[in-house]
This record gives sequence, C-alpha cells and structure tokens, in this order.
Amino acid sequence: MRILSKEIIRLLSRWQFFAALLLGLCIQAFGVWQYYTSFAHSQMQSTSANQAVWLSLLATQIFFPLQIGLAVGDTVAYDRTTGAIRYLIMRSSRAKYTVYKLAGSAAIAFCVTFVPIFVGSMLCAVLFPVKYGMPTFDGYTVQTMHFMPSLFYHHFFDYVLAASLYTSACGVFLGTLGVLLGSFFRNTYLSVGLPWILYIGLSIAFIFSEVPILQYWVPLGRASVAIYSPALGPPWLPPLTWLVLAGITAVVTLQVMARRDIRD
Amino acid sequence: MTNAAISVDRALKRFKSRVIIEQIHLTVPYGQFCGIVGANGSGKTTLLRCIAGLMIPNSGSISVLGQRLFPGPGTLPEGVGALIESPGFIGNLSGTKNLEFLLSLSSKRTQVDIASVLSSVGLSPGDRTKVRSYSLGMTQRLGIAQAIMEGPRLLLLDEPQYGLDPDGVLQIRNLLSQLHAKGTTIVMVSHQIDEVSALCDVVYEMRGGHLVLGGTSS
Repeated sequence: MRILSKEIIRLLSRWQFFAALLLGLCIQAFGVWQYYTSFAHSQMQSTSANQAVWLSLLATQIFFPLQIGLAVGDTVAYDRTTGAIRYLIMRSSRAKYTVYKLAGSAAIAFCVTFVPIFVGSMLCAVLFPVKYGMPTFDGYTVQTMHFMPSLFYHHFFDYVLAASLYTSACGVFLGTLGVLLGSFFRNTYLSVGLPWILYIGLSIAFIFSEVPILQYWVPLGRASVAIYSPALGPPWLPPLTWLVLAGITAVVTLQVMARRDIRD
Repeated sequence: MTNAAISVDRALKRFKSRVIIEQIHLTVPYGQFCGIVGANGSGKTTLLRCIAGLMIPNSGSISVLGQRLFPGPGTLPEGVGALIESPGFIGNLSGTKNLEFLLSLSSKRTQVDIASVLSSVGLSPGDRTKVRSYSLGMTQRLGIAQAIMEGPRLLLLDEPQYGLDPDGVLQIRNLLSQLHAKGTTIVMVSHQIDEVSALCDVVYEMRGGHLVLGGTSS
C-alpha cells in the first residue's frame, strides 16, 4: 500500500493529470454550453437537466480515452525511457512494480473520468433544474435509445452517479491497457494514443460491419450510457464487461512483465 | 544455498539467435572486490543485468546473497545496491526527492541520512534542482548515491566513472575503497582496465561472451 500510495501521489503531481482533468471539465462545459445555446431558450424543448446531461455525456464518450491516455498512458513507457524502471524493479520486484502500476493507473483513470462527468452533471442539475416527467425526447427515443429511462426520470441524481461510474469502468480498462502497451512500446505517444485509436477504430469498424454480434459489442456504445439501448442487454453488463477486460489485461500484463528482459 | 555473495553457474543469455554470454561460471566470495573488464559488446553489462535480476538467462542458475534468482522469480534480496549503465530518475523531482522515493520502495524501513550520502558523492544536499536539469556527471553521482545509500552488503556497479570529471573519479575511487574496507562485496564492470586493476582484488575479462580470469591483486 505504501508503494501504491507513492505511485498515486507521483501521478497526481504531474501536469498531465491536471491537463487530463481540465480537458474533461472543458468537454463537460462544452456539452452544457451547447445545450444552453441550442435548446435552453427554445420553445420547442423543455428546459431540464436531463437534456444537458445527455449532451455533455455525448461529448464525453468520444474523448475520454484521450484524457486517460494523457494522465496515465505513459506511466510504464516513461519509466522505460528514463531508465527508472531498473531501479524500481530492483528495489521491489517485477510483480510488485506491475501491480502498483496497474492499480495506480486504474485509480487515476477512474478519477479523471469520474470527476469531470460528475461535476458536469451536477452543473447541469444546478443550471437547469430537474423537471421530473418532462419529455426530453419523444417517447420512442427515450425507450429505445436511453439507458435506464426510469432511473433517468425519477431518480436523476442516482442516474448521474450510475452514468459516471459506467463510463469510469471503461476508463479503468483503458488505464490498464496503457500499462500493458507501455511494456511493449517505449514510445510514450503510442502508449498514450493507441487506446483511443483502438476504441474509436473498433467502434467505427463494428458499427459499419453489419454483423449483429459486433454491433452488439461496439465499444462506444458500451462505454457511454448516453447512447446505450436497453436492447443491448441488462444494465450491469457494460460495467462488468469493462471490469472483466481490465482484469484480463492486468493478468496479461503481469505475465508479460514477469518474462520480459529489462533492457531499458 | 551457497556461501558466496554471487554464484553464477553455466549462465547463457541470447537475444534471438545471437548468444551474448555463454557458459558463465562466476563465484564472488563475501567481501571481495571483483572487476570485470572487456571490450564494448563483450557481454559484461548483460552479465551484470542478469545478476541484478533485470535480464532472465535462457539457461543456468544465478544466486545472490544466498537467494536463488534464476531459475526463479528474479527478485533481488535486501542488501543489494546497483548502478546499471546510465542511471534513470524521475525528472521532475530533485535528487533528494528521488532518493526518498526509491527508499520508500524498500520493504525494509531503514533510517538513511540522505544529506550525508549526497555529500559523500559530491552533491549538495540542499540543491533543489530537478534531476532533468542535472549534467551527466551529476546524474552519475546521484546514481552512485542511490546504490550506496542503504549500506548494501553487495554493490553492483556498471561503469561508475562514466561522465565524471577527474576529481569525481578520484572521489568515487576513495568511496569504493572505503566501502570495500568495511566489508562490502563489490562487483565493478568497466572497460577501463587501469581503474579496475587499481581497485579490485580479482579481475575477470569478458571475451566473446565467455568469462576468463584476468588476474588477482596478489
């Protein structure tokens, strides 16, 4: 725990963490602003926090892997580039080093995903007070496109918490993926950017594949509740999927690091 | 189990099809100052990395301070300090903060006077300069400081004089002599034969991936 706390403090003290957090908050602010200028004064739409949250989450879903990459993607690649990995491993062990890198990255990834979404959603709730039962979209859209519509309308703050946690679960997976990539690539840009490219690339490929099973597992849809449809399965499936993937990635990373020569 | 500080038996390491070290037998008794010299690419750093647990030999066994490293988890026991090639530190921290961070990773909680360790290698303890702004020589001195700060029983050094000015070379030579006199086992890898010969009890030479006995101080 002492080593993990040191790693988290180190990650928290880097400018990359603050940049990632600021990026997330800017994306949320953009979502709120877009709602405000597009719908808030329109006679056609109701003024409610529901709509604003919906838009800010839409903005988030595309960019949040970049936030995570920025905050933790280079955590192993940086150690390899500087040579610090030699001293860290000699003073602990390969297994300990890998575990605290994985745990530290997961914690920071969770933080940079959860905090902006939660703050943005709360901002929406303050600026545009909740009007329970007001239709934000027509009934068909709400029922087919929206994640947990009942929670959305009747327990809005619970919905915000669930929405933040669901996207954060994907963030945890992407954080561990960054550590795994860092064990293969010394190039920090690859470790930072590759998870986002994979996320977006696979989403586009799956969406246009016209293969039902692939369309069922589109990462973009699974990571963000904003476009989540009840037809995609029970609500606990997306976060469980991401956490299982994070676990598998962690085990693979441990195996890779146990067998890898430290030549950096 | 062995009575030697380091015991290497039939170690072989290859990268893809290229053999780097082959049939290495090395026994370093406790308290010995052992030098390994050799030309660039002869495999001396690879051997030191295997002893430090950073590289995994393809075959053979390595034990350090009585603990089996390979075959095994490759985890170094307590009491080993090492400087392997150019030292790597966290660039946005000062030298003192880097040493504090490395100390926090050790499971054994020892009280270390970082200021005196930094002074012993010629660095100013009060200097708050971030390591990324350090010169090559200062980074090397900090690397030696992290290796010796916990009073190791075994010290592994790869080209410790690299990047040091003449005064620095003399200072580090005196420091190593003092550590040796106190009973620290030291393995030093270098291509400077004069330097190694002046300090070491026994000198080996790496030649084409093989280790041959070069001579003893006696």
